[in-house]
Amino acid sequence: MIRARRARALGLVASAALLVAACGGGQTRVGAVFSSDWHDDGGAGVRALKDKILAIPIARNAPAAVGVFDGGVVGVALGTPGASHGAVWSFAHAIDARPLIAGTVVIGSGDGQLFALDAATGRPLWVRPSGGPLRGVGDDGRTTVMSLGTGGDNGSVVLAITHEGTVVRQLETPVTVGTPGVVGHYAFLPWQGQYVTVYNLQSGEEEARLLFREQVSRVFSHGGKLYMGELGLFRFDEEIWQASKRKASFVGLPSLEIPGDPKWFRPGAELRGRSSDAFDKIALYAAPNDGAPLALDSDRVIATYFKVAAGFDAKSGAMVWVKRRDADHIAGSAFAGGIVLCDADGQISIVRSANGAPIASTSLGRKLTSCAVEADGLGLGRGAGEDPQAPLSEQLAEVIGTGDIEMAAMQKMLIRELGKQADAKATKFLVDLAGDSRTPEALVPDVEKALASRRTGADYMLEALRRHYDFLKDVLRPPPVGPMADALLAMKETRAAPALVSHLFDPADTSDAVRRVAAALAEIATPAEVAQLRNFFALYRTTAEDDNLAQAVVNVARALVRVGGADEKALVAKGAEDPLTVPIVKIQLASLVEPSGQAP
Amino acid sequence: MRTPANRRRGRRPAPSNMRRWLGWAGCLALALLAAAPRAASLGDSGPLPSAAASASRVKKTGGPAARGKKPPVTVNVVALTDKLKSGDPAEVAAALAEAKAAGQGARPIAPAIEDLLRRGLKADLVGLALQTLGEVGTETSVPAITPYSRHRNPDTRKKALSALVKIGSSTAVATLRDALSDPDPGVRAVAASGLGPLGGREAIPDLFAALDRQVTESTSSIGQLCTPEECERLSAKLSTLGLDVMTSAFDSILFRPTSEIPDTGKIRIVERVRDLRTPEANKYLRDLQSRWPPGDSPRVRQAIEQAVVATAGAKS
Repeated sequence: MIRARRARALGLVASAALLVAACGGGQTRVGAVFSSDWHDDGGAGVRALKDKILAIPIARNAPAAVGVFDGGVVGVALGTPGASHGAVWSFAHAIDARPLIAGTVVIGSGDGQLFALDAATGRPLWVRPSGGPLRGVGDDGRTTVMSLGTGGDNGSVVLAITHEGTVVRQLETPVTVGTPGVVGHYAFLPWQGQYVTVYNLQSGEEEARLLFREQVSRVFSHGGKLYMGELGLFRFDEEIWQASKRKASFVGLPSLEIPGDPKWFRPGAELRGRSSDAFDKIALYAAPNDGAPLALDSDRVIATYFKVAAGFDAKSGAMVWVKRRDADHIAGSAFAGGIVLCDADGQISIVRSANGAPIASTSLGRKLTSCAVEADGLGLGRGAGEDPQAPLSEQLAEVIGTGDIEMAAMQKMLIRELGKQADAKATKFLVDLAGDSRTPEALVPDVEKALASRRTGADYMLEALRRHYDFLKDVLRPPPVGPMADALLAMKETRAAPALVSHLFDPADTSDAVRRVAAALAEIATPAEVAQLRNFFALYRTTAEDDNLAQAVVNVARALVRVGGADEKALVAKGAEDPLTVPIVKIQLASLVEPSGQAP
Repeated sequence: MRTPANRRRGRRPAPSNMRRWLGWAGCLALALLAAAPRAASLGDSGPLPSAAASASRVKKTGGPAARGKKPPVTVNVVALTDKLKSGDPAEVAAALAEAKAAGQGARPIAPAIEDLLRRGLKADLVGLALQTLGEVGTETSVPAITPYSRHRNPDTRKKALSALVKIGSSTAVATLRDALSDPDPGVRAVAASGLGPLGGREAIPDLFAALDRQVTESTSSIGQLCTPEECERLSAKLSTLGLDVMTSAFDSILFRPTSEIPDTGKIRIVERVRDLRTPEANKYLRDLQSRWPPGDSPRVRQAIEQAVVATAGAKS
């Protein structure tokens, strides 16, 4: 309690210092702004104001990437694909929080100072005492609005500063303000997860308030339009005044089963340290389009999971492409037609959202502890990245084949995706993965499950079934016989019978595999396999040592009855009466044939 | 199958009954194939390299070599056959044990045992049936035994292979070659050591491949089957495999007739052992010296004597 009071006091002192430091700023009014007495006006306030705001042109943000390294920040202006990127710049300064890019500036903090840099060149715009940790930044190319913590548990300082360093407005409030936006002299301040206050920087008045029925904690501009949201995005357009009635333009992401449960946006009020964390590496990216109704650009959502990046169809949630890099992805930003990804090695890659084709790349020249990217100003050149890419099954196999056990959760998901591919080659890749000794053991069950679900690529399975464990030839992992038997049974692939029956006698195959082989043979064996089926029946009818083998004997008997002649039926009938027959087998054999009354 | 080993067996004088029975007992007491390879490759005039080999040699003389003749029946065939067909596990076990003890004297029982294996037996009886068939069976028993060489139980596989080695046939060689690739090391070992006694020369490449994969039991069989060049290739592995692994192979090679392995090849082996200059090498050479047949290959004997002197006092 004492500590809390002390912290609050320190926060106030810091805020006071900030106030003193401010020169020429507008009057700070706290009264009506963020008032808890406000009642939902049904959007009337915003409706009255929206035309004025919509008439203000919003410049596109400067495309840039900045990274944090031990000595400060390093950045580069990104060029439109086809054009060259800017020169890499750096700025030496202590860094204690992630730099943020908004509009045309980079805002960073460290050592009690807040600084602004030109995003394109790294040129310092201003430096000033910070007063609290940086939460979020908005910028319209002239004015930068920042939300800062106060040092206490709650409360914020909102600071509006021109690019020349003049404080336009600063506002201390007990509420936690998320990532703000700014258009002209209107600041958009999200708070309490549901409100966005439209704050007039000139008058210091709250001119209107938006009420959302879904989590909203950040405001930003993209493609010359203003958006607000967190779980999904609302666009500030003609319909925005109906936000409280859930009638504003809105776009969300499809449900995607990606390990780590990545989110499109992090909470706008979240403080982020200087180093990237798992939420930076496991993330979703998508850009809103500028059409009506509001939708996702290119119908794509891009997910990163450490070294892997994958594109998903925004409507169906189906994976469309997947790539792997050598280093973890730590930041990204989507733009119309593409996405910019930044990795821990400082590599900046621009890829086409639709197909994952690489379009351009550059490097920040050093390893990064964290990164921030803004891609709004980029656009795809004509024909960029339209070359045909390898089929998804091949892309999946390549990524899975790296055997990176640290990404096991993602690889499991990719294996499931591979199993879903109609492409017959997906079967080959799964067979190869199952037989490859480099495939981590933890992934083998997933590979086998995917293989069992295949309904194409039987020829690849037939080829694989011809292989057996062979110590002398260093074939030390048997093919995935059980899953292939399941799949071939489902495909009613009678061509598989000779190969399958040979696996009944391979001691290197598990008894589970033998059970599944026998189950398949019960349905797809032909008369050509009768002799071997009889052999198996003789070997294990009396010696089946586990349930799998017992079940295999019963299924082999079923195959004998189905494709054999009178002799085979008699053999099974006698087996059903022989006291030496394993009891659990005996009972089931009896149900297959009429008892003959003779011992075998 | 007519193999060098079989030909040698055929030249051997028939042993006395007492010696044969001692041989059976010795064989039962030893691992099935522990010394068999060496015994099978000995020349007529060669002395027995070791006690184990002695037992095995006698066994072999009374076993496969005698299978061509009709041995006297020493069991009640009708009674035993009835027991085998009784379906009563205890009766079957007793009959198998009796037949096994009778050895070739129970040969007429073999078809009944083969029939049991074809129909299927309780797990505990399968092994006994295979062992018994190994003692009383003939080449006609091989088809009934062979499927068990792929049984899921490795002990059953080992017993099936051992039975095949005892009976001997061309299909047995193929089965043992396949078993060199078995997932179970014990099964591979039985297969590797069994190919020599079977005279499976065609298995030499596989035996070398197995040896390269640490199936050290291959050495003994290679030693029994190798050409002079192959023997040289094998003995060159002494430095990597060690003397303890190679002694059975060296015994096999050194005691083979000069017509198969010239003295120069044998002397080269002695020199390789000498060059180890270890107490173990000296011990082996002294043992070899004591077993070397009087008057046989004087040049080799001289090389052994010189090697013994050269390694005397060697320190490990």
